[in-house]
Amino acid sequence: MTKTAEQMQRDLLRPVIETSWRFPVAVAALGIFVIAGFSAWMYQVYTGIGVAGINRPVFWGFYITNFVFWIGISHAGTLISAILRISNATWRRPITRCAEVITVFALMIGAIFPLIHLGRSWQFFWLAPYPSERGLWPNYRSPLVWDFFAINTYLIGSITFLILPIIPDCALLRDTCVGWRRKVYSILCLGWRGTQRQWHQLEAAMRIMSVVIIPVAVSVHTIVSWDFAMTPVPMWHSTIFAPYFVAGAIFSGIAALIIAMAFLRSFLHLEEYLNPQCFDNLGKLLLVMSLLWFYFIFAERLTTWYGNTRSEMAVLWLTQRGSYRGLFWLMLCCNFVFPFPLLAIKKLRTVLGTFLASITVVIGMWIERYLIIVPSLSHKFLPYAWGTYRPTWVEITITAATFCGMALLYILFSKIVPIVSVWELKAGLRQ
Amino acid sequence: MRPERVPLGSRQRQLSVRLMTSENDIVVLCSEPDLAKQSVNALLAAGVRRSEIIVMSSEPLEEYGITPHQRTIMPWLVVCGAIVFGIGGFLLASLTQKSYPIHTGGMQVVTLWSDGIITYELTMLGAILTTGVVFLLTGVLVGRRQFPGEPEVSGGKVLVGVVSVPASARKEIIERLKAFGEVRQRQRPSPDLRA
Amino acid sequence: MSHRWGMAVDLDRCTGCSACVVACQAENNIPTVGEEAARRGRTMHWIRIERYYEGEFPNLRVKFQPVLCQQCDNAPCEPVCPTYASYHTAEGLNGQVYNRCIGTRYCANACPYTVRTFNFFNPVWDKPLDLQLNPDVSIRQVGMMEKCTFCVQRIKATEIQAEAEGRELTEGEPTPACVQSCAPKAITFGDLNDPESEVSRLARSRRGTKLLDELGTQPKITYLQRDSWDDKNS
Repeated sequence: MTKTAEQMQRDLLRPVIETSWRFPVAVAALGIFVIAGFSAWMYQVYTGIGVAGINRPVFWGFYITNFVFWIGISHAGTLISAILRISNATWRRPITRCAEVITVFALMIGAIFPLIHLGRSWQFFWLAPYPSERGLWPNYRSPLVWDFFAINTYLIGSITFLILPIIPDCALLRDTCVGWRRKVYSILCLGWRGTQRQWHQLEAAMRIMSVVIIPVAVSVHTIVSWDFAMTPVPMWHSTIFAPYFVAGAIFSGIAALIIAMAFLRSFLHLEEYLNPQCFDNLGKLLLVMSLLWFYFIFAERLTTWYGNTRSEMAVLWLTQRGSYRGLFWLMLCCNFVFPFPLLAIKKLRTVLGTFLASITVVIGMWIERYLIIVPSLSHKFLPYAWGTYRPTWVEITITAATFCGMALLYILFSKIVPIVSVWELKAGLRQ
Repeated sequence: MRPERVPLGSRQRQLSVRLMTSENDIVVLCSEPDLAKQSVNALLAAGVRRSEIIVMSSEPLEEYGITPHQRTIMPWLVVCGAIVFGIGGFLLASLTQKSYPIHTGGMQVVTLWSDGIITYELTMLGAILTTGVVFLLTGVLVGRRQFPGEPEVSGGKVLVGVVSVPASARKEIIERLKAFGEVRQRQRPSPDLRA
Repeated sequence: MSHRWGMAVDLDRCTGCSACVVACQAENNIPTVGEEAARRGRTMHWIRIERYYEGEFPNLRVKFQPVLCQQCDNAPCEPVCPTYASYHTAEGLNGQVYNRCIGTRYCANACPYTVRTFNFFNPVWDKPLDLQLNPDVSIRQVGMMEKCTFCVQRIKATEIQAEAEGRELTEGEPTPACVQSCAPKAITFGDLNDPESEVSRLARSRRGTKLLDELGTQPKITYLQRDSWDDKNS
C-alpha cells in the first residue's frame, strides 16, 4: 500500500505534535545520569584529575577512549547522507536526518572529552588561536591543535548540513501547529516560503555541502588517529592508523545509526518509513565495513608480528596472549565473528538481526579503542616504566553519562523536529 | 478577500499606517505540479512577465521545469570563501610561528607539513561557512516580508502567484487561472517607495 | 661561547645508593605522593634507579641504571605539546614551562623513557617539610607535567654569577643536585660544546652508549657500560 503524501506528513509530524507519557519519563531517567556524570566531572575539577584512574605510564585511559569512540560514531551521518546523496541513492531519504543528528551530537559529546581529560581543564581555551597577552599562539605542530581545527570545522559543517534541510520542515510545522508552537516554528523556519528560488538555493547548498563534508570527515578521524601515530610508542607509530581509524569510525557509525533507527522505529511507530529495506541495505554496508575492519587489524598485526621488534612484540603478545587477551578476543567476536553470520545471511539480516549485530559492534569498537590506547602505554620501552590501569568510579560515571546524554539529546531533538525528513520523503514519493 | 498575513514588524506597521499603497496579488492553488506548470504557461501567454510569477511548494519540483533552471553563483562564492580562509589559515599558522619562534623536536620554526593541515582545515571551514551564509542571505532571509505563502502549500498544493496585478488585468488573469485550481486575491500593504 | 649541557653516567661506578634521587627531590621541591598513590603508580621521581639482575646464582650481577630526562636533541615530547610548555632551549635543554602546561599529558606518552611525571593532585608538604622547600624552584600545581631540568636554576645562577664577575664558567660548575650528591662520582655534568670538558671526553669513550639509541631521539646523556674486571682499555 502506498502512502499518500498527507498521510505520510501526518505520521511523521505526529511524534513532534503528540507527546506520550514515555517522553517525560525517559527524559527524567536519562537526565539523572547526565547530571550524575556532570557532578562527577565537577568533583574531578575541584579535587584534581587524580580521582581518575590514570597513572604513570598509562596517562590516557577512559577519557581518550571515549573521545576517539564518539568522534568515530560521528562518521555515520557523513557516509549515509553525503555519499548516498551524491550517488542519488533513493533509500537514503528516510534515514538522512537520523544519521545527521547522530553526527552532530556525537561530535559535541566527543569534543567535551578533551576538556574533561585535561589536567587543568579551565585553561582549555589555550588550544584556540587568539592573540594573548603573552604573544603565544598554539603549537601548530601538535596533533592536538590539528584536532581543535578539524573537530570544530567538522562540527560547524555537520550543524550546517543538519540545519539546512530542517528549515522546510519547520515551515511545515509552522503551518500545522497552533498557539505558541506556531510562533516558535515561524522563528525557526527563518521565513521559509518554498519558492522555486529558495528550493534551488537549498539544493545547491546541499550539493556543495555533500561534496565538502566528506573530505572533512575523513580528515577529522585521520587527525585523531595521528594523536597516537605521531609518537614513538610501540604499536602506535604506524602509518596504517589513518585509514584504519577512518574505516573503524564508519564501521561504528553505521552500527550506531542502526541502533538509533531501531529505537525510533519502535518508540515512535515509524515502521513504514524506517522499513526493513533500510535495515537490509545498512546491514550490507555494515558487513562490508566489518570485513574492512578485519582486513586492517589483520594487516597491522601481521606486519608487527613479522617485523619482530622487541618492544612491539611485547605489546602484541600482551593483547593476544597476556593480560588483555580476554578483551582482545571479545573484541574480535563482537566486531567480526558474531556480526558476520547475522549480516551475511539474508534471512538473518532483519531489523532484529542488524540491531543485535550493531549492539555488539558498538561494544566491540569501544573495546578496540581501549585496546589501542592502554596496552601500548602500559608496556613501553623500559621495563621499569611498565604499569597497569584500572578505571575509577569517576571515569565510569562520566562514560555512562555520555551514553545517556546522547540518548537524551536524540529524544529531545526528535521532539522538536521530525526525525524523518518530510519534504525529502514527499519528493521521493513523486519520483 | 483574505485577511492580511504579512508578519509586520512594529516599525513597518507604523510606516504602513502613514505611507501605504496596497498591492494586489492573485494566487492559484494547484493540486498537482503539472497543473502548476500549465498555469505558468497560461500566465506567460497572457503577457505576464516571468519575474512577476512566483511558484511555491512544500517540496522541490526541479524535475518538472516549472520555472526555467536558475543559475546561482553560490559555488563560485564558496570557492572564493574557501580560498580566502585557506590563505588566511596558512598566514595564521606561518606568521604566528615566526612571530614567537620556538624550537621543538628538531623541527624548523615554520613547519610546512603541519601548516598545511591547518590550511586544509580552514579552507574547508571557509567553504562551509560561505555556503551557510550565502544560503541564509540569498535563500531565506532576503525577501521575507514580500509575498507570503498560503497554509495550503504545506498541505501539498502548489501555489502559483502573480505579484502586483494592475486593476485592468485582474479579471482576465483570474479567468485564465480558474481552470487550474482555487484562485485567491490578496491585498498586501507595502511601504511606499516614493517616500 | 654558547653552552650545550650534557651528562655522562658511569654504570661501573653506580652503586644504586639513590642519593641522587633524594638530592633531586630536595633540590627541586618534588612532592612525596604517599603510599597509596605510589601503589597506583604515581610516583614523581625525576631520576630513578633501575635495577636489573643478570645471570643466575651464584654468578649474579646487579646493574644499576639511573634514568632521568635525556634532554633529547630530537625530543618526541616537544612537538606534541599544544601550548609550547615543552620546548627546546638555546642551550640544548628540553625546557618545561609550568605556566603553559594545561595537562594534556601528550608529552608523557611520547617520551620513550617515561621520565616525565605528572601532578595528579595539588602537592602537599606536611609540616615541618615545608620549611625545607627550595626558594629557587617554583612549586607546581595540579595538572602540570614536570621532569628533570638538569637543575636549570643552578645553571642559570652560575651563568649569571659568571657574567657578573666577567669570567667564563669553569669545569665543574654548574653542578646539578644529583651530580653533587653522587658519592662514587658516577654522574658527570658539563658543556658538550667544550671538547676538553670531562663530559665531552667521557662521551667519546669506548664504553659510551645511549639509551634507546635506535629510536633516533639523540639523547644527551652517555651511559658508560661496565667492562669486565680484567679489561684495562677504558
